[in-house]
Amino acid sequence: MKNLVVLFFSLAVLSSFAQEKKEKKWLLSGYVKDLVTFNFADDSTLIDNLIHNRLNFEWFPNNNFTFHLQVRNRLFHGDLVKLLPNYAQFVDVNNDYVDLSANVVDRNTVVFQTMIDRLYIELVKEQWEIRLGRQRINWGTNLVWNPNDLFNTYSFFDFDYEERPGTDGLRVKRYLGSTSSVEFASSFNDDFDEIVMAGNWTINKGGYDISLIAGKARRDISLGVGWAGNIGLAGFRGELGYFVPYKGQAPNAFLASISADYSFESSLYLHGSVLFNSEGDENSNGAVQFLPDRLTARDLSPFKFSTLVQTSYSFHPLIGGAFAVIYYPGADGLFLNPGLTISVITNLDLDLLGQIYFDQDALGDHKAIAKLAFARVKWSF
Amino acid sequence: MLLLVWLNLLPLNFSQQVPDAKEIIRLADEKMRGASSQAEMTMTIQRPDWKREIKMKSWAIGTEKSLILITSPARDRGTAFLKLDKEIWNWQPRIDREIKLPPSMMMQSWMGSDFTNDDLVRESSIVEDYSHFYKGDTVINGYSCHKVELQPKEEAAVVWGRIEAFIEKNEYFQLLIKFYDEDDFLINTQVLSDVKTVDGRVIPTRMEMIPEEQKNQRTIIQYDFLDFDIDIESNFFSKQNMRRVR
Repeated sequence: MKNLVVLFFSLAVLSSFAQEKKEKKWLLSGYVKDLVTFNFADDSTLIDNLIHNRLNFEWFPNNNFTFHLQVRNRLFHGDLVKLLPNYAQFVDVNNDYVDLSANVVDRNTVVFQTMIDRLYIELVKEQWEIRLGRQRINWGTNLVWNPNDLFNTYSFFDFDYEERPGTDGLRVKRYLGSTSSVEFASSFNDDFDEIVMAGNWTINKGGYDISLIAGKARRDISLGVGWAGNIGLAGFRGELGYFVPYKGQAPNAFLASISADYSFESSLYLHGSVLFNSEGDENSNGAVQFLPDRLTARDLSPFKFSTLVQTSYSFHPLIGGAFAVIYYPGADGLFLNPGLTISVITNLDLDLLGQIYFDQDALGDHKAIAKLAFARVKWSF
Repeated sequence: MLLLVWLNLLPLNFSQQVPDAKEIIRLADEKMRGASSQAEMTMTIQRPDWKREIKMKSWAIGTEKSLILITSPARDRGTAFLKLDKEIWNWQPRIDREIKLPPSMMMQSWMGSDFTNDDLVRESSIVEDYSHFYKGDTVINGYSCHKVELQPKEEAAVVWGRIEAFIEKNEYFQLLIKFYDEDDFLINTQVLSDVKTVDGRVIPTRMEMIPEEQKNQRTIIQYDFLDFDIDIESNFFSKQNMRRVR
């Protein structure tokens, strides 16, 4: 018996050694985060806690084939969970065709949700790249507002979802050179009028990356242009999107998102961006969508004009500060977003953030109608 | 006949007396670069009370094409930088996004270190973007070396006002480089050491960048692996590969 144990142990050591010598065919990474939210209401403060684990698994049996699986596990607990009777449904919002999320625990005080937000296979053969499954199809070139992100629009306010949502679909891409490609993608849906299906031709000319996009986005015929380049030393990016409905009563919509950014030697970074939405409201009738709800590319903002100024600065190599201001001139709405990121030790980060929104309340008084503070600890592995 | 020999020797003699500064820099640059190269390195950002390590892999052909992949820490693993001529892209695998970096970003610190982005992706060329002046010779760490001053050409988009480079005389490897700003203040000193024979080349395998104003802090790059004149296709340096490289 004892010999058997020794033999087994030796074999285990040997085989693990052999494995180490062989090139690894898979990769597991991810993080664990804890996010505390303070929601300052008029008469009380709501405190919620979110423990959030992400697992990214990648398997590459050979050079041509890769399998990706990414899982998001979230445990919600706190005042808002208690207050909202259907909190579990409220956080389970996505674009997905196949339901790959489950509320494992859904009680009055605690919600535990697990969700697969990436699940795809990728085949690469020379210049061809084919991806099938739940993936992120990112056609946006701008940093905040992306009218060209037809497949998986995200909300700037949903800062805790860095990976951003994915889409169930098929993407076929062919690289035409080191910086140019042509791409076709389609999302899956039983209803043709919900499908996004488009082509993207990207070239690099005169220091600019230029994308030309055409296709259908749900009930619209959609055309888009995107660019990323520079004027002098400053970055200059933009996206134009035109949406013409082939069905239904919706009006044509034109969206333009233009931005410039500049980095100083001191690490000071400045970024300015403007979004124009031809169908946006000029006055305060629109309501800013703060919650990670189902946005589409044609309704990125409820207002005609949205403007953003963003700055960041490294106070110390381990401490970074950032401040973003969004102003909606039509509504006189103002969003303030200060933040501080501290690298505590390798792979352990602490974030302190605020989100404050000033607008008119029901009585027409201008005041801070939303005041949120966040503390987040993140351990990456 | 004698005259012919004399004439032939003449230019050689002259070049030995006043060495060609540009040629010295070209040889030193070629030494660390090869026609192409592949490297694995560890960057350590060292401060009196803390330090951080970044591990990366890099591939390059000449000065025109390079690709850098971050392999550690976990938070940044998979992040890649592609440089083609004067354009640079950053790949963020988590959000499936490539960001075209504006030229102003070249002056910024590389991931919080004492190196700039330009130092790492080598957008500017110490051979092409500068004029070179021979400033005599000296001895550093027992190696006798040439001293060359580099002044940026007017049209070159470079960060520094001037550079002093100390190049070892026999093998043409860099030993010490001093970076001055436009007002001629010394900003950074780069010390190269741990001279080894790698792939048939005698080169330093450790680089320390020390900022003049904070002499108790530094960033160290240690080469863990280096290979020159590798078998690499030019299309390795593409957006496609920036997303795929491991």
